[in-house]
Amino acid sequence: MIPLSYYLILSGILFSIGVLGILIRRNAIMILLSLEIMLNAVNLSFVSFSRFSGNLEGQIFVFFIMTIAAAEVAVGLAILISIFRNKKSVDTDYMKSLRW
Amino acid sequence: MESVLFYTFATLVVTTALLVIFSNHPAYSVLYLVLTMFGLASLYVMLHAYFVAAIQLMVYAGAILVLFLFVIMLLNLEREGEESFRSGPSRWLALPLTLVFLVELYTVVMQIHIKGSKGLSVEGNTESLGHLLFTQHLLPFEIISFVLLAAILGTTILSKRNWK
Repeated sequence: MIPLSYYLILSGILFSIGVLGILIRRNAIMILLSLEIMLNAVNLSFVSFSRFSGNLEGQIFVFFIMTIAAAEVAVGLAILISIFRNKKSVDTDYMKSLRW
Repeated sequence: MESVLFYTFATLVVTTALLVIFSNHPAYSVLYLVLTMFGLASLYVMLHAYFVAAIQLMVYAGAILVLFLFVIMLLNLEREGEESFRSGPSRWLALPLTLVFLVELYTVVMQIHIKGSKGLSVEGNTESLGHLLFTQHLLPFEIISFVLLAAILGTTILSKRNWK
């Protein structure tokens, strides 16, 4: 049987890939996609903890996280569309009207 | 056998996730992310979380990524290419910072010891999860529907009104 730490390391690698994506991309859609990768990495660690501690609560958490992720993506993409209407771009470098 | 499957799916997940963040056009990234979701769903099946695996495929690969594709089609991003990557010092700082973060995660993970309940095997099928959802977690389950309602209303208002 695969030990727990393998799954957790895989989840950590996936989370780091998400962090890297957020740091190096300028396109707001790509930032939202990297956010999805990070959420999925956390889901993987929840499910593996749930499996290895013999407790189903972790999978309940994954269920709720997926619901929140769906809501977050819907609202985020709606905001993105209205930004695109105003600025004709989804480049995060152009979104600086709130920047000090 | 199990470790062969684990390494296969782990390689699939990591390579497609890297392709997601490094491909030039967002549409390709979304399609690679579908593959990542399939790999993760296979890992969930290996962890006996069948319901979560099915939800992963239906909600993520089926709904959320299709939403991304629709928005990418609507936005019609023409001149995307090399410039969609960040330039300057933040680009070269990103990789070392991520590596430091990864090493930190590794050291933390190596210190985890779960009190052995190896013989106890839980099956995450629809029956057991549904039983838990509708008994112990009934209140959060109902409240999450209000979150979804708020998301529906917010999306409708944001896309209807013309913000100037």
